[in-house]
Amino acid sequence: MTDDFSDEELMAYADGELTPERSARLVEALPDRPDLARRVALFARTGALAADSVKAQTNEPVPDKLKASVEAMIRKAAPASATVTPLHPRKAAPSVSPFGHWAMPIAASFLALFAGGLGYWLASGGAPGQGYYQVAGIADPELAAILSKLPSGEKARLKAGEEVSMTSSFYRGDQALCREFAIAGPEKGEHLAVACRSADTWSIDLALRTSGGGAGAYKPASSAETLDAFLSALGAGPSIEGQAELDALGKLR
Amino acid sequence: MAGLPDDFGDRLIAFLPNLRRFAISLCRAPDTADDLVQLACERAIANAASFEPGTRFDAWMFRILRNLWIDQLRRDRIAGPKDDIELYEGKLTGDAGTTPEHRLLLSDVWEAIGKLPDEQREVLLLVCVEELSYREAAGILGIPIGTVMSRLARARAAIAVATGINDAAGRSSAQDKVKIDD
Repeated sequence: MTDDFSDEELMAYADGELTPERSARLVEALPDRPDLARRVALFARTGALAADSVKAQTNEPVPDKLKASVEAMIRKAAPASATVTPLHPRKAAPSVSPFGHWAMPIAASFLALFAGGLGYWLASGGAPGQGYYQVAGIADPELAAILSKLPSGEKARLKAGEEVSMTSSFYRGDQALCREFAIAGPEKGEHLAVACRSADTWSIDLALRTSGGGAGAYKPASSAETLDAFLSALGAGPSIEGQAELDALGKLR
Repeated sequence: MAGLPDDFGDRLIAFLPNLRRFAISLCRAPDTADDLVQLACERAIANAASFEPGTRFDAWMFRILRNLWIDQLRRDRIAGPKDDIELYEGKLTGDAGTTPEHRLLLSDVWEAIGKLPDEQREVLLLVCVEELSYREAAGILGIPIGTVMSRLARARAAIAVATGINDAAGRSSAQDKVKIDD
């Protein structure tokens, strides 16, 4: 199915503002469209960079003179005996870009881009538990041990029978170490995934199911390409290889 | 004068950093920004009774400040070109987790934002920095959501081009990697 998505729609998807119907269509299309994935990631990244750039540049405290002046205005307008109308507390906090921590060095909430069927969908705040993806996308101890030790190019088998193949290691924008890998098993199908290390845990940040779970044509090659394009556009660094990878893994607690 | 709603004053003071950040990013000149913030506070206090409890205080304040800024721009256009205004030179505050390359990128992004057309910059600031929804930004600016989206998309595309994010070589493709089997 070819669907045309405008730049605005891709941006809206990155911002969590695209309608569920349109999002679902985009999600189906993404595994075969690395170009769209790259564009989504670009919007996510520029949004996050804009936020962090402005915050970094305007970080100084409010000048005393200004603050004093406003306080004086307030005192003048609100003598102690004034009757008051209570202000209601603010509504729920606004959502932060889920892609923020990929572009910027902030220990914020993580993103889980999860595959259902043949597509991606955005799950903010936690991926549904699915065996090795566990609660809130944190890798369970068995998978975590593999992520921490097994170099790229090697494989391991989980107790439940799935095979884990390590693809590459790289650093995210905030210098968190990330690992790209594949998991394949009869029940859960095949997934390409990316887990990143922070606060002594591996959190599954991205996952794309490339087979299993439903009928339909899929191209594993372009799924990997899509994932790659997405990561690239989010500012993932180049692959760490050989001894450098061993050193990076060795540093993990 | 009926006085201010309860904690209106506290809210206003607490909001000064955000308000100032918005003002500086909009007009890029620190003195002008602080004047705008001051004026916005005066106006907010004068109109405190018109603030609807339960609605977004920040959106209300941003609207006040932004409208004052528009008035300022209009006056500047009529007054003609000014002498060189002292442009804002914020210092990038370092962060332990940031690399020099990253700080440079942030600096480039700041420059790029400053070069955006006003109408794109204000949308970018409201949505991406101040985290308002498209709908809330549209309400503040008095424009349709579609216009918010097209300006926002153009702003971000422009930032990507200006900072070279578009062309970032990024990672080597997993497909290209040759694995040596044991």
